[in-house]
Amino acid sequence: MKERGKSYFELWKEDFMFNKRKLVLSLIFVIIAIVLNFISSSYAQKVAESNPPDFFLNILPAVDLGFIYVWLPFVVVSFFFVYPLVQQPRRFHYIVGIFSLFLVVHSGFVVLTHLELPADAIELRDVPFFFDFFYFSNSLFFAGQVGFPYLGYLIYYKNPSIRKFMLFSSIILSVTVLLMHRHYSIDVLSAYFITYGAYKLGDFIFKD
Amino acid sequence: MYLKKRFYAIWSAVKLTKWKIVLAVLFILISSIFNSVVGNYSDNRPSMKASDIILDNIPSLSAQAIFVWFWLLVFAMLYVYPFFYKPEKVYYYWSMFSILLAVRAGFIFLTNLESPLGSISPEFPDFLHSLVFPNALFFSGHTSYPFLGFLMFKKSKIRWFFLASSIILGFSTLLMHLHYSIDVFAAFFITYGIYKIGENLSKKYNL
Repeated sequence: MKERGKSYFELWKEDFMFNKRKLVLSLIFVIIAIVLNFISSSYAQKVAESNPPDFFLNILPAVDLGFIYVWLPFVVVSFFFVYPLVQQPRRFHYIVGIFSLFLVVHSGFVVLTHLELPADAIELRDVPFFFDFFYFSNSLFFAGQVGFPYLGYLIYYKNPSIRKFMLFSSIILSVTVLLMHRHYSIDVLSAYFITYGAYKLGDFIFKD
Repeated sequence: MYLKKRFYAIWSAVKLTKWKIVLAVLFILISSIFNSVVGNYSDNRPSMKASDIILDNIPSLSAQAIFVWFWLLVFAMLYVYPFFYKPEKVYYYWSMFSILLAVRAGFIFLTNLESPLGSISPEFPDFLHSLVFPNALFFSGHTSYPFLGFLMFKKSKIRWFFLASSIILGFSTLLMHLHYSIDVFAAFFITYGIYKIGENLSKKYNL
């Protein structure tokens, strides 16, 4: 792993800092996006009061799949950020930038129309202590748990293993949120369309 | 003389693709029937209103002329313009409209929100009354149809008219409290997705 006497870490650092300015900008952007998402989700949590009937929720029994619901997104997040950090450090700013835009779009939608968690949603038990910090039950439209892995599928399209894992996770989480009655069907289905639009926009903005 | 030549050019292109156009019309008919069935279903099943940050902060205002008549004008233009833009591809543009209609019907079927508080009933001409469904909300057809025109007619300046129409019509639905804001904003994203699906299918099968 050495080139002209440089260690792997030195080479990695060079690559990571290659787009230093863009990296700093993307990190600022992600912090703003996280804060925005927190504010909009907190707002939705307070004002939501309507749980309309839903075709799939009416016909599907509520099933407790809490383990997948809580832990699979963590695995997805880890892959999403650790893979480029290790393998594609020059691209890290691009990935963080697109993720930030996805979060901003999500925050925008969450504040618009106020839907409440479906009435017979399965309650979450044994969640890790940090879960409450970023999880808001009324932050429904659109389903971030579905959109986020799908974003991974789009970003890592050229890597077959990660692409398949991300798409598979997205489908599994779609089924999980519906079976747990923790999202309406429009939240889930529209997540694919909105994520695709956010990805194309992000690709246009952040591409080198 | 020019008009006569133009007319013959359009007519020849249409004649060459007549079976594809017939198929596209068939798709539109099927999607419209599907849309009507789902629209009726959405109006007759239990539903619930929701609060909305935009609707709760703007008064209901009647924009009938825009919502009804401007919409009908845009709708007619969307179906007629392909004859002048690319007459040999009329079937392609019409098929895209049928996909949009079908996807919209699919969404309407899912989650049943009731038309927002304070909504003003649009006064469509009598012959169109049977095609208006107040609870067919997600996503907004008034926004998505012209936006699809903007995406499809990319080599023509008319696309900017369709983009402006999409924004004006989306805004009019909010002013009249006939759609929730997610219906309007999500329409842009969903329409873009539909456009890409149609474009990829067209490239793949050389349509």
